[in-house]
Amino acid sequence: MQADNSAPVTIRTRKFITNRLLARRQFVVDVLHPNRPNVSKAELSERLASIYKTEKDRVVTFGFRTAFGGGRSTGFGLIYDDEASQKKFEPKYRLIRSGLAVAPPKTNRKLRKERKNRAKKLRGTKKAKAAEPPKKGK
Amino acid sequence: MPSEENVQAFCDLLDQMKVSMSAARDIVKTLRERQSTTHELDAREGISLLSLKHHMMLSYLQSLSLLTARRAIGHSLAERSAPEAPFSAKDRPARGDGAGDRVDAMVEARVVLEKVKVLEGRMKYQIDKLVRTAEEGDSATKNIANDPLAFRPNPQALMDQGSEDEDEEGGSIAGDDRDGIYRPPKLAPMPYVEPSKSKDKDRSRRAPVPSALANLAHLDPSKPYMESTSGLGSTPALSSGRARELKRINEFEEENFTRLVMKKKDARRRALDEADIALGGTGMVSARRGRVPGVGLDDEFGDIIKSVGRTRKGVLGDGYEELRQRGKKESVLARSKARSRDDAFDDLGDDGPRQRKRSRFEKEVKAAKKRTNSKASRRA
Repeated sequence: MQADNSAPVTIRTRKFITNRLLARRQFVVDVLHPNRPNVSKAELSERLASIYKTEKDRVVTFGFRTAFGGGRSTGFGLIYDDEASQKKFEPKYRLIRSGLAVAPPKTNRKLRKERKNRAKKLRGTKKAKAAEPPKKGK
Repeated sequence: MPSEENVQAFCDLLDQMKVSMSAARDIVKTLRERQSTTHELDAREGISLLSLKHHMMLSYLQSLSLLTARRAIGHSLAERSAPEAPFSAKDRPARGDGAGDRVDAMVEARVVLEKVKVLEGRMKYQIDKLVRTAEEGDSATKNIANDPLAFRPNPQALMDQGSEDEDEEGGSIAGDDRDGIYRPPKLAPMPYVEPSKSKDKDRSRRAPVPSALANLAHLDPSKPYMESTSGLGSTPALSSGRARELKRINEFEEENFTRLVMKKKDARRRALDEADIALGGTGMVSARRGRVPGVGLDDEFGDIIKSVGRTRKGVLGDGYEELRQRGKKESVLARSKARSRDDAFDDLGDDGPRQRKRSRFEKEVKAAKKRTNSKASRRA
């Protein structure tokens, strides 16, 4: 069975609600994609933007699950009215996904934990002094 | 200049008014005579509850019509004069003239009517009985048992029952104490049977509900077509508890625009069960301990497997009782029958004992044989 990436895709929206409190429109998205693997979130955002006549940056899609057997997936979609409300109401991880926020730099987890465990043995200002690992040798 | 029809109509109206006024005058005259001569309309000692009901209803209706008339003219409903005496005072004067007073009078009448209804409900039995005797007279021919009004609850009977028990207990206790020796009660010896905790034992020992009929318990009365069109296979979402749970999870996720956070094990179990339901199974694949694929007979045919070896009467009691029943011989009548009751049930699929239906071919074969035999015998 060939995976045809240009096969037609049908998008249906259900349970459409206009959420005035969060300045967005939210709905359940049903994607029918026979003879095709899952459709990417970026492509879905583009198609939804063209259907609802908004910019594709305002459309957020998430939570897609494919039904058994393939060909159909169900997920959720949100369309924000403007960027300000999107930045205000969207959770951080989804903003990072769509590129509107920057992820905090990934610190070395092991280093942090080791530093914490070393500091547990001391008290007061000595914690700052003994932040470095004890020099081996010397 | 008013037209002829209008003048005629006006004259007819005036005549009607004259007639009704003379009728009203006659009625008032008869009422005054009755009041002066008889004691029927004497209300010094109060009136009965039933006539109170009628009078209050009349005054309510009068207030209502007056109120609508005044409202039609345009009076506001707020003008009222303060009542001079409380409601319970016997000689309180009538209410004032304002429209608000009419509203108050209506409220009073409504409250009284509701209370009267409650009281009448309590006296209903007596009233019905009196009315019936008044209508039919004293008919002794009527059977007491057929008459619904002949029996009424007798609380005295309950009190007698209670006092009898107390006397018996008091007597027995006094008797034993005289000897001073404890004598145990004389009962036949019985084997000791541990009382089974009937929480899960009861549920598993009862005959399991056949799976084809189990779905009837979960039918949605507002959607009758869901079961009728599917024939053998019921909606997969209704067949097992796990299927319904998964459906509920899905609905929750769609309603609340989230995906539930599950552990890896639970997520894998959910995917497995959803795949099973999509393929037409019961959705209880992941609940089996031994994850051998294809061995799912217990789910589908559980009711048949569990009912083998069980009598039709079901559970008799404790195991002791069931053993005794199994060892007993049946009655002579049952033993004398050539076919037992169980055999009768096995034949249900075949529409009773099968008769050898003689087809046309067989009939012709038989006729031909007869002919050859008779020819042979004649020749010989």
